[in-house]
Amino acid sequence: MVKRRLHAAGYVNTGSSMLGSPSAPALHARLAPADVLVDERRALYRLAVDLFAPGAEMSDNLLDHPIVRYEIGRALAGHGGVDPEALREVAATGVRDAGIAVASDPAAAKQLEAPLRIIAPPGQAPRPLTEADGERFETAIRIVAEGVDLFRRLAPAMAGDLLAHVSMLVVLKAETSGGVVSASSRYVPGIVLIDEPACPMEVAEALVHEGAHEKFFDFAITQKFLDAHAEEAEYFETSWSRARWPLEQTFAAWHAYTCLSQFSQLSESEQLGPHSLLPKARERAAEIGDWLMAHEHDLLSDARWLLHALAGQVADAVEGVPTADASVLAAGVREDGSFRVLPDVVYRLAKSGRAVVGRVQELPEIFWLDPDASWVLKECHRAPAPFRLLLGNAAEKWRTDLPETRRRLAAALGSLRVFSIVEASE
Amino acid sequence: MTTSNRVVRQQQFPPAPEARLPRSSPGVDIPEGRSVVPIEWFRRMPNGGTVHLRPSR
Repeated sequence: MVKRRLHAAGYVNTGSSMLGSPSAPALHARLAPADVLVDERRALYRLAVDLFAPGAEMSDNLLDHPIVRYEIGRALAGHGGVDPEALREVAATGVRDAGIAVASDPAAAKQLEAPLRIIAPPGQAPRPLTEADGERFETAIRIVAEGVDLFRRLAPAMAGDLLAHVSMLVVLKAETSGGVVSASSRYVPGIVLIDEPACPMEVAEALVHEGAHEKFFDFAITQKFLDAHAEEAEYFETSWSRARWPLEQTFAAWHAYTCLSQFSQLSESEQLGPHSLLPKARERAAEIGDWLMAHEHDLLSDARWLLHALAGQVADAVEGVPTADASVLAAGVREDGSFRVLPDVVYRLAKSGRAVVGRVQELPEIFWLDPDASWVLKECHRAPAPFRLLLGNAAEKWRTDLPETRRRLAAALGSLRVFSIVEASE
Repeated sequence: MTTSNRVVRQQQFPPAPEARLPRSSPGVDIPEGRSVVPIEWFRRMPNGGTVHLRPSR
């Protein structure tokens, strides 16, 4: 059994930038509770289907399927379109319920070709364990179920928070895994691949590790985390392997190690697998976190906030995010004008009240709107809306005085105009 | 000993030739904390996946 250092209950002490870290699930929820985040993700994928196949309605289950999301992601990246019927076919993967859905279909190797190829180490061809493997598969399913139960028992809040973002687990045949302990890919979000497990703790740790990545993937497409500038940012070099990571990978790794460090505190009596990262998680989270703190200007506001909050450095939460300069945004918003949504704009509303907007073109553009801008979009979508009508309705909706309503309305309209989502109409 | 998460450096898709950033009105700076946030995640897919590997012997 691997011995681990004891920590004060309820806190993570992970180095100079990680003093007294509050729990990751609680801080994640300050940005967006898991159910809200998943609903916003679905709204985005539903919008993408609207852009490529107008009129096609997709169920939540279908939109959660990793291969469906992979296909939609490819289309959004400019590689092919979306065929709703084909999506329904690729989503027909047989799964077994082990607390989470585990790929069990004898045809899984074909159905899950993309993630198996993407995560394969050079020269390797991982294959999934399926019902066709008989008792060996049944044994793996039992260990996975015990691992999920163990995760939920040791860290119920974290399990609920992270497993909400794991749609499918794939167990790789040990003789084909090529050294893979666990893996995930943002190309195929929602799927976690693990080596054939020997004990439940291996499964639990893999679900923390990869579940943290899956959570990050969903944050990154719905909140303010990274923009195109991330590609040009400096690389982080690990002290332990001299690997060089781009910013996106660095943030994902920091997030996973931070979750693993917190999980480590909650599982101190458990025997670890031979390749466990838990004994190293605290130190590595601190190293990566310190680097990210020094490069936080390359992160967007929600990512910066999470970085500081998990380090215990932010007393107040999302409210601390700077607000837009209303005078800049309001430039050109005339109070005697009317505003309408441009004809090439489509949108979907999430239950949170946020709208995700797409512009129909060869390579679609996607935007998330805050609740104010989302409300304005809805008001202008029906017909051109005069500013004064919007002002009166907004005061009623937002229950604010006139100056504050005017400021918020002008800021929302200004933002929508900047991105050519609404325009002034005659 | 274990290795860290390793980035598989294979390119899944070639960059879309028409890929570009979301448009905004010419001459207008985008302030921080704005109401509208472009999501550029799907336009940049630099890496294949994050893979936790056993150390090679």
